[in-house]
This record gives sequence, C-alpha cells and structure tokens, in this order.
Amino acid sequence: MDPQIRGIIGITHDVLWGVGDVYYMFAIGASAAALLLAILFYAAGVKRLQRVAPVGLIVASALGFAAPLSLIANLYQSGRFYSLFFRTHLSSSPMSWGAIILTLYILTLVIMDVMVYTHTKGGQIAQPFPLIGAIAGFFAVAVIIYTGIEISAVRAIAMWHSALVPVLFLLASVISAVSLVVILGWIDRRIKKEEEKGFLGTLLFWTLLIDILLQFIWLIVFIMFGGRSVINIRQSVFQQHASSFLLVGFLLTVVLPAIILILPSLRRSWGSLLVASVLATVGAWVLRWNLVVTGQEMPKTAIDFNRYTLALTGHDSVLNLVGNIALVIFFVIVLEWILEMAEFEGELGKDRVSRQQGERVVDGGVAR
Amino acid sequence: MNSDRREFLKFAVGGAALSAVGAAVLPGDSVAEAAPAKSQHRWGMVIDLRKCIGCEACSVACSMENDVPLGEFRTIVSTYEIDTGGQARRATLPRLCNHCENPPCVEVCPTQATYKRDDGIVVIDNTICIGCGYCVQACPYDARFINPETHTADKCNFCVQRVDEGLLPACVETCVGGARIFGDLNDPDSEVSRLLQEYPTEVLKPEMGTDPRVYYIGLSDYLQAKVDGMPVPWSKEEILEGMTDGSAN
Repeated sequence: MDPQIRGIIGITHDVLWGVGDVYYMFAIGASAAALLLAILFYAAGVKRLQRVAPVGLIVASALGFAAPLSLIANLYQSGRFYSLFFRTHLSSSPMSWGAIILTLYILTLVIMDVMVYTHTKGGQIAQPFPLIGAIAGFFAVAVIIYTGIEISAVRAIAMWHSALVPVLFLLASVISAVSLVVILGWIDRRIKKEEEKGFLGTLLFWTLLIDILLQFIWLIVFIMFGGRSVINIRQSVFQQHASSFLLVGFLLTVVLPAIILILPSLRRSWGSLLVASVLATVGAWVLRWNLVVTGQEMPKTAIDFNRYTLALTGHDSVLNLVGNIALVIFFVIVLEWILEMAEFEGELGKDRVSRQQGERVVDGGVAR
Repeated sequence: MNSDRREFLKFAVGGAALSAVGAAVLPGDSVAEAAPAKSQHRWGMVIDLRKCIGCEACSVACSMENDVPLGEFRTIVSTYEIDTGGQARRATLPRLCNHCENPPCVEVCPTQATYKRDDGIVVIDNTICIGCGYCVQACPYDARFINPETHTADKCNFCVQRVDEGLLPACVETCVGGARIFGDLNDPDSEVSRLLQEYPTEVLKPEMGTDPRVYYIGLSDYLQAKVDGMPVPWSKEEILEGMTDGSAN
C-alpha cells in the first residue's frame, strides 16, 4: 500500500520562461516557415507562388527582425547577450548553436530582401537565385529545429523531453506561417487567385491533419507513460489546464480549422480560409504555451505545481509583447513600402503603378 | 569526528594556499579564476537522514553566509508527513545542488558561465551569466533559481569561498545533529568516504544519469524522485506577504 504523503515545508519555483519566450518561439518559427514558402518562388521558381512569395517574405522579415529583440529583452542580463558570440558552448548547448544559427538566419533574410528588391524588374524577378535561396532555406530549417531541440534537450522536464517536440514545433511553424500569409495576403490584397488560395488552404489542411495525429500521440504518451510526472500531467491536462490543452489547444484551433478546410471548395473561399487561418494561428501559439509554460509548471521535486503569473509590465510582461508586436507591424509597413512587391505581380502592380502615376499628375497640377 | 576535521582542514589549507597563489597570478574576481588549477580533491556530501531533525538551521546559515535573497533558498529541508496505514511519521529531506559528476546545467549553459571545477564543485560565474535560465530548466533537482538581485543564476556552491579557505560549508558547520558531513571523496580516510563504505546510500533521481555527489543515508523510496502527495497547505507568496505585513509573528 502506497503511503499518503503531505508536504509540510517545501518550496515551489516561479515559471521562468513565460509569454516573451513563447512569443519568440512562435514568431521565429512562423518567420522561418514563411521564408521557406517565399523561397519556393524566389529560389525554385514555382510560378504559382508568385503572389504568395512576397507576402511570405514580408511575414518572414517582419517577424524575423523583431522576434530576437524579444528574446534579448527576456534575458535577465540583457546587456550581456553579445557574450553568446564569444563565450560559446557549441559542444553541448542548443542555445549556443541557436545564437549562431539565428544570427546567420537574419543575415540571409536581409540578403534575400536585398536580392528580391534589386532583382525585381517590370513585375517579375529577373531570374531565380537558387544558391542564396538554398542557404536561406537551410538556416530557416535550422532555426525551427534548434528551437525544438532547445526544449526537448531538457531531460528534467518530462513534458519537454520528447523527440516529438521538434516535429511539433516544425508543424506549428508551417501552420502559423501559412495562416499569417493568408491573413496578410487578404489585408494587402496581393493574394487573389483561386489557385493561390487553394494551394495555401490545401497546405494548411494537410499540415493540420498531421498535427492532429502527432499532438494526439504526444498527449497519449504523456498521459499514459509520463513516468513519475504522470499524476501531475493528468491533473494538468484534464483539470487545471483542460481548456488550454483539450478545448482551445486541440479541438478549437487544430481539429476545427481542419474540418473547416475539409472540402477543397472551402479552401478557395476567403471566409472559410480566413477563419481557419486565424484559429490555426492561435493554435500554433497555444501549442507553444502548453509546452513551454505548462511544462515548467510541472514540479520536478516538489509536490505542488510551480506558478506562472502574467505580468502587465516589466520583465517578461504583456507590455513587452505588445511592444514587439507593434515593431512587427512597423516592419510590415516599411517592408511593404520598400520592397514594392506589387511591381512584379501583374494586375495589382499595374493598378498601383497607374494609381501612383495618377497621383503624381495631380501633384504636378497642384505644383503648377 | 575531531581527527576527521583536522584532516579536512589540513587538506583544505593546502588548497587555500594554492588558490591564493592562483588568485594572485590570475587577474579578475570570478570564482573560476580563483579556483585551484588542478585539485587533488573531489568534494562531496553525505546527509544522514537519521540525524536530521528538520530545524532548518542549515537553510538559515546558508542564507546568512551567502546573502541569499528573501524567498529564495540555496538549500532547504523539505519536510513531509508520511501516513502509512494510519501511522503517521515525519520525514525530512535536505535539498541542495547535487554537484553532479555529469551536471546537465553545465551542459546547456550557452556561455559556460556555469562549470565544474577540478575539485567537483559546480559553480556559477555571475560576471558572465546572461540570465537565460536554461540551467534552471535543466536541473532535475530544482536547485537553481534566478537571483532577483544579481539577475543571474544562483545555487549552492558548497560555500566555495569557505572551502577554499579550509573551512566547512556553512550548512555543515551549523548542523546541530551532525546530519550533514562534507569531505573529500578522493580521500579514503575521510569521513564521507568511510560513511559511503559503511552504510548503504542513495542519491536523488538516479534515473537522470547525473551521478550526484550528495549522498543520503536512510532515504525513503517515496522521496527519492518527484514526491507525489498533497501539497504544502500554504504558499510562498502568503508567507512573504505575512513577513512584509509584519503579521508573521
């Protein structure tokens, strides 16, 4: 007979990696996967993605430039972040690899932006640039993988230490990237054709299906075979965070959008595609939240759960998150303007060019 | 006991002399730079749970010696009530950094701010630590925290500043029941080595493969890994609020 144990003196720890870290993993994953979408056109020359690619590049660049700032802000000694580059620990620390990979990823992102900007002529890119694209693609995949490995390498946290985690991160990255490209493509009206919407809808649908399967396996493994943490994991999944894990994290944001996109005709309709994309974006966020924050709430030695308190201001706070999202929006506006993607995507480009020319004539008239 | 302490002091004074020479030669004030170049010692601790009375004197001494901020602990005596078929007994479990032979915290640290010295003590150079918290996540023993004053990782370091001067860690020095025994695992005549030979000992979470250098005599299976049971009926926040309100007394 197992004894009943009651804690009399003990401590619980505060959750360390909170909303800022979840946001970083979400944003950098979406950035990298969006770049992979863009590369399919800019490097591999897939013509059907001609209008999707610029949106992908804007999503990738805006999130890719802003997200690392959230990561730096979330260090408790932010001013020392540069030491990651000269005090490396590449033999065993995924975070040390990450510092190098992330830097090279951002560098290739900048090069991609410059290449697209300089190679755009009369509504088309002069020629694809496969070498740069391949290098950028390599670092994009590396970024997604390193964030997953960084989490799964931690043996001490039962919910993290799984080979499925990097795969789940990869799927969530693709889901959030496709969804954000759909949303931005609708906002800036670049994505119009049925074929483009159909491609994105189909990609989202199949990725969600694989995600359903893997999330199911992941949950079953931990609920049934979570070792000494199994009691806490069941408490968390079925009681404390049941809405976050099962209702929001699985049914509403993974299963439901997949159901919405089940018919090919619905994948080409803006209404259903947008609803599914918004839900799937939330799902990609919630997966990271459930893994990273709820994973840390699992006690390692103590009886009771660790606690996470979402702060409004200060370190790892809502204000930090809002600030970084504002920066993303700023980058989107600037990139839309600088890259002038519309120039090489035909109809809309012509509209814009003629509108700009009309405005110049009017301005000229005023000046005279 | 006294002869063992004299033995310990003899070795430790030698180590202190070496470290003093090292400190004079090497510039800077970090723990790493003050450490002896090559140590003959392998420090470890045996905790005899039969002698621990759960007085928390070790927790207090540690906090005083190391200036640990309020609400954080480098060591604490977790205390449990274990009810076996209607018979309740109290069990204590002093927790601290296990100074593992294969420390996962050292593996993941991206800047090598945390590392294992030649004498086996796992330390943090808080002049290098960037406060990423990765080591806190990696430690299976909940032994680490982010110090709210230094904004860097913090944990037990076996009172390295005392050990290098030939003294015992503060918790060992103050332990009223003599439950904490510190010494050189490389010395077959040290008290820790003798205890390890004479008594069956356990380590916490052996399945983690960390090979701890803190050994327990009389450790119950129920407490060896993560403890399952009913939580402490009060929270840290409530206690801290009470202290700041002055209502704790």
